[in-house]
Formats: sequence, structure tokens, C-alpha cells
Amino acid sequence: MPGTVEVVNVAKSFRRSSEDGSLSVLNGIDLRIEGGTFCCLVGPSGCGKSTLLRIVDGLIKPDAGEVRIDGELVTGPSLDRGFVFQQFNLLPWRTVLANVEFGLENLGVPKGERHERARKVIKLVDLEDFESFYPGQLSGGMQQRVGLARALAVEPSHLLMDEPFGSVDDQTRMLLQEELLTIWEQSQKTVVFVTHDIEEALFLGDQVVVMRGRPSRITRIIDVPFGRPRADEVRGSPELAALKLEIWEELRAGATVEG
Amino acid sequence: MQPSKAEELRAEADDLHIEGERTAVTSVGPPATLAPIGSSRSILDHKWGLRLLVYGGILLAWQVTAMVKGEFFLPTIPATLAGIVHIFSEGYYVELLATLQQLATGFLIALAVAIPIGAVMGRFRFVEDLLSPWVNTLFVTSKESLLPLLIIAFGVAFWYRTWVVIIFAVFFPIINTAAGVRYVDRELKETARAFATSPGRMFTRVYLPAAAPFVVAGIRLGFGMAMKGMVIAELWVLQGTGELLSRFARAPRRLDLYYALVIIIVAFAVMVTEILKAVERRLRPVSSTKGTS
Amino acid sequence: MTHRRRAQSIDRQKLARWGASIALFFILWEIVGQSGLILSVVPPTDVFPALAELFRDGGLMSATLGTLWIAAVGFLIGGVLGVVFGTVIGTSERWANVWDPIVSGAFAVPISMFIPVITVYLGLEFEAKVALVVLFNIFVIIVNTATGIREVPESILEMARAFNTDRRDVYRRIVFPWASPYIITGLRIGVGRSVAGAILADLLLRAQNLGLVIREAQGSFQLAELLAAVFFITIVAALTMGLARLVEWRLMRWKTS
Repeated sequence: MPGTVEVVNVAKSFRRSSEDGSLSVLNGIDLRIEGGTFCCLVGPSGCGKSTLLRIVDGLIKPDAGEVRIDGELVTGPSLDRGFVFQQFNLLPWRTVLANVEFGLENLGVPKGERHERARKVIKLVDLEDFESFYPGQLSGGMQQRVGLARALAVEPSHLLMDEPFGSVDDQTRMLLQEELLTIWEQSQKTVVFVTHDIEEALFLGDQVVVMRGRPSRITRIIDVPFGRPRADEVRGSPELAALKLEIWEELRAGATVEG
Repeated sequence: MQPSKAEELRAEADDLHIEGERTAVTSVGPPATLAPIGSSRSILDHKWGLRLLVYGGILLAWQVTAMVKGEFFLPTIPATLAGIVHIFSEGYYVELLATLQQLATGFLIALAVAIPIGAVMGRFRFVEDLLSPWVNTLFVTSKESLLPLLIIAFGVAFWYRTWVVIIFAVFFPIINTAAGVRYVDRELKETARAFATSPGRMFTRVYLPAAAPFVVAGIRLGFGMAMKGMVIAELWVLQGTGELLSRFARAPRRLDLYYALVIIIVAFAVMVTEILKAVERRLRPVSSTKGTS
Repeated sequence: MTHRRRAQSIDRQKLARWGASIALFFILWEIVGQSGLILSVVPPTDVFPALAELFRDGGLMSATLGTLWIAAVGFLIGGVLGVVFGTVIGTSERWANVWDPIVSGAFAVPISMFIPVITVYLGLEFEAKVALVVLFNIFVIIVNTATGIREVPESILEMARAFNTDRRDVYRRIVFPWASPYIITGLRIGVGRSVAGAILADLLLRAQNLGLVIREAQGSFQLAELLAAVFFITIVAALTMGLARLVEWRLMRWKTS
């Protein structure tokens, strides 16, 4: 299926401004994500999963290795990939509609068509009545929906999400998770979803990639056994609890060994 | 205080702590993505690298221009430096001292009046409601145009310049002290009361230390205004240092002495301001500035 | 709805208090003036007729326009240069490093000390006065612009990159809109500084326009006229700055939330 993401031997270090020398964040990352898969990256804070996501998007260049999508090398950001940020990153002087249109403007889509496409996506995320509101007037959950709509509006083949629900409260998060799945199940894009919440990763994903260490490596890939569409009962199910425990043990082991 | 006034003061000063908003022009770097990606670390990136280059270039341009266009246009650097010596050796510094004396007098009176008023305004809402329209309006009006009134009232003797300094200097200390006291009321007073703090201790242990950085900021800004008022007052009636500045620029033109005087004034102003800034920094608690916004 | 009504009643309270303050001021002024307590205080009942006369015979209107024109030209020049220069400082850390000490220093020193030497290089007329106005307003505009540009968060710029925004467009569509509140505040303050600078220029460089009115009144010891002129200038300055604030408020409406 098209949209396969191949990460080959990626490494990345950051130079630390306060001292000399560098911090190695990623090393020897190999990953293959089949097209149409919902893939979750899970790991402790600061383990480089956000960095890896940005390398896949082309926002950051790796020090070694490469990323290929459908065989083509990723050299920079592209509107073929929609990015959703943890801090929303909406433009406060633009209405919801104008924010969603941002990517479409970059594509050079003419005004009439822009409005149409933006409105379609706004409807998809259930913000129809809030089209002319400003981000400052919206709750966190609503703002993130705008962020999601903005990414979807350019009709990308990949959706890259960096802890998108990290800044909202629990109940909102669960609702957003369900909405995300509903939207995704209609389009079958390839999704790479970064989170530190193990339950979220298991509930949402087809595949959970566990990363840990410093520098980070991929230590385990779990194929999530639950069917699609994801039923609500999965959340409390014993299978999920067992998997969660497994992953947690995996992460904790890393923590004690590598300090 | 309206947020816009806070912004105005933030803009007027480069380093001001008011209502938890902190804007430091010199310490916040620009967003990294705006800078060229992958810029290598050359000598130009060192803090003093480009500075020395540019400042040196300016001095060079000055010197060359002075040599080409002659002393009636621009004095050479050595001439200017010699001028500084002349200012002292030929007795002009006496005028400087006289100006300084009046500046100090006026400024201290201004502080003695402004800080208590500001404190009361910050502490009691009704006083602020009463006075703040006046303070804010007078603050932004053209104080320069009041000078003729003062001349008529006081002639051109001692009190004229002192009054000008007071009028110019009084606003920033009022506004900043009020902000400091208001800050304490907002953030700390309740806590102190919960610990049954006596009024005396409230003043010395809570208000004083917490509001101190605000007050010092007000003093610093007020000082700048005091100097500004003094120069204008002296230019208007041709007295003191202002008279010297005017004289050296015209009759007869001694631009070497003029720029020497400018350098002395700048040095003095910067010195006082930096000292006050350092005091202000010392008085600020280490981490709290970011907490209130 | 109730929110708005409450806001209206608060406004009315404020207005009433303002009105009372002003009334009190005029009453006090009248009393002090009539009593002759302070020499130069002339009561409003003498000042306002003098003001009227200044309008009729003294050309107060054209004098005001003259000074305001100088302020306007100076504001335009200082505004453009200030925003451009502020953008450079706000964008490039190198250049910020170079110019920050100078810009900071400009706030600490009395700019008026350059008035005598402006005369040397630019004469006493229009150019010199505009130059003084620019010196007065440019530093505030520079500082505010630079601050606004530096405030643009990294994450927003990252978002722009992720959505493949043209580098040229980033300034127009992201940086300047984000920095605009600061820039506009700086320009608003610049308006006030420009007016003050223009008045000073008309007083100290060559007495013209409003400066001339004042000098003449002072010279002929026409106290009532002097007070009238000063009073009028104060009103004009206050109105100009109030107008600038209004413009700022209207432009920044999206920030109300």
C-alpha cells in the first residue's frame, strides 16, 4: 500500500550551547511503517521521539541515515505530510477558518476553493459553528481540533502528530482520541503519533513502537491486537492492561539500567 | 494601572519590572529560526567581535570626516579628548557642578514627594482613582511648554531649574512605586496576613523588599527625565551646562569643547543608570520575575 | 449581555469621576487665580478670553497646525526608520548585540543636549526640527519593534516551516502580524514623543508656530495669553495621544480575548 515510511539508520545529536560537546539523542534508528498504518511512538519524555517525528517530516535533518517515503528521500517539509503540534501553534489574529486555510494558502489554492475545503474539514472536526471565532476564544480541545483540521485540509497522505493531546485535560483527550479515530478510519492515511501515554498509544494504534535510552533506540515494536473500528470497551479491557504493563516494564527496565 | 500604561513604561525603559511583565531588550535573543540556518561560529559571532568592528568603524569615520571637513564641522577625536581636559583645566567644570547641584536637589525633592505619593496610590484604591487621571495626563503632556510659566513664577534663579527637574522627574517614581505596592498587595499581602504579620513588619519585611526593585526602576527612569528637564531648562534660559552647550556650538564655535561636554554628560548619565540598574538587579529575587505573568 | 451592561455602568462611573475631577480642577484654578496666591496663576475666567483672542488675532490655529505638521513628518520618518531598524535588531542576534548598548544608552541620556549641534549641521528650519523629532521618537519605536519580533515563538515559526511556507512570506504572514501589537504600541508612544519633540523644536531651535506664540507671550509678560497657550498646547498634546490610543485600540481588537 502506498505511503510506506522507511527510516534507515537515523542518528541525531544536538549541540549544547552551555557546554562544549553534544547530546546524542537518536542513534541507529531503523523503522518501517506500512502505508495506511496508525503507528504510535512511545517513550519517556526527552527520549527523542519528537525529534524522530520531525526528522520524518523533514523539519530536522538527521546527522546520519535517511528517511524515505514510498522510496523517495525526505529532504524537507512538504504538504504531503500534515503536522499537528502539541502547543497548537495557531495564529491568534486569524479566525478558525483562516487558520485552517493556512496550508491551503501555501499550496496556492484559490480563495473560493480554499473556503470550501476548509469548511469541509472544519465540519469534520465538529467546529462548524465556530468558524469565525478567534483561537483566544476557544478551549484547548477546540484549538487542537483546529490544528488537526489545518493539517487535514491540505489532504496529506501522512499525518504526523506530536503529543497532540498532551495539553488538554483527560476527558477532552479521550473525546479527541475517539474523534481522531473516526476521522482516520474514513481516510486510512498513514499516521505517526507520538505520545508518552501508553494507554493512548495502545488505544489508537495498529503498531506501538517503544523507544528508550540515551541515545534513544527502538527496543520493541508491538502489533496491537484489537480490531477496527476500536470499540470503547478496549479501554478498560484486560488485554490492554496486560500490554500496557508489558510496555511499562520495558520502559522502566531501560530507566534503571541506563539511569 | 491599565495594561497599556504598563506597556508604555516597558517600552520607555529597556529593563523594567512592572506587574510581572518583563521585557529586557538586551538579554532576549531573536528566534533562532529567523537567523540563517547553519551559521558557523565565526569571530563575528563573539559578543565583542562585531561590536568592536562597528564601533571602530564609526570612530574611524568620525576621525576621517573631522580631518576632511575641519574643526568647524567636526572635531577630531584627539581634539575632543583634549577638550575634555580643557573643560576641567579652563574652569568650565564649575558650571557643570552648579548644574549637578541643582539636579541633585531637584531630583531628591522629587523622589521625596513622588515615592510616598506612589506608595499611597498603590495601596489605596480610592487615592489611585482620584490621582491617576491627573498623573497619567500630566505624564504625557508637554512639560516643556510649562517652562515659561515657571520662569515667570520663579524668575531664572535657583528655584526655576529645581522646579523643572521636579516636574520632569516626578512621574516615573510615582507610577513605578505604585505598581510595586500594587504588586505586593496582589501577590504577597494575603500570605503575610495569614501569618499574622504586624503592620510594622509588613512594611519592613514585606512591602519594602518586594516593592524595592520597582521603586529603584522608577528612580532610574526618573533620573533620565530629570537630566532631560535640566538640559531643556538650561537651554531655554541659557544657564549652566546648557548655556555652555549652546555657547560652544555658536559663539565662538568650539565643537571640540561641545562634544567633550556631550561625552561627559553621556558618561555621567550612563554611569548613574548602570549603577541603578545593578542595584535593581540585586534587589530582584532570583526567580520570581517570570512567575506573575 | 449582562456583561456588557455592567461594563457600561462602570464606564459611566468612570466618566462621572473624571468629570468631577475636571470640575474640581477648574474650581481650584479659579480660586487660586483670583486670590493671587501664586504669581503666575491667572484664573480661567481671564485665560479663556485670552485663548479666544489668540485664536482670532494670534493665529493660534495655524501655529498649532505648523507644529503638528513638523511632528507628523518627523513621526513618519522616525516610524519607518524605526520599524526597519527595529526589525534588523529583532531578527539578527549579531546586530542586536552591536546596537543594543547604543539604543539602551539613548534612553538614559538627555537627547536635548544635541539641540545646539543640530543647529550647526541642519540649520534652524524645517529639516533641523524634523531631525530633532526623529531623534525623539525613533528609539522607542526601535525598541518596541525589536521586542515584538523577538517575541515570536519558535514553535510558531516551526509550524510555518512544517506547512512549507515560503521564507519570504514568513515575515509578512507570521512575524509582523505577531509583532504588530508591540510595533503599534511603539508607534503610539512615538506619536506622543513626536509632538513633544516638535514643540521643543519650535521653542528652542527657532521660535516658530506654537513656540513663537509662547515666546511672544512670555516676552510681553502677557500672563493670561501665556497660560492660554500652555493650556491649549496641553490639550492638543492630550488629544493627539488620545487619538493615537484610539487607533491602536481599533487595530488590536482581535486581542481582546
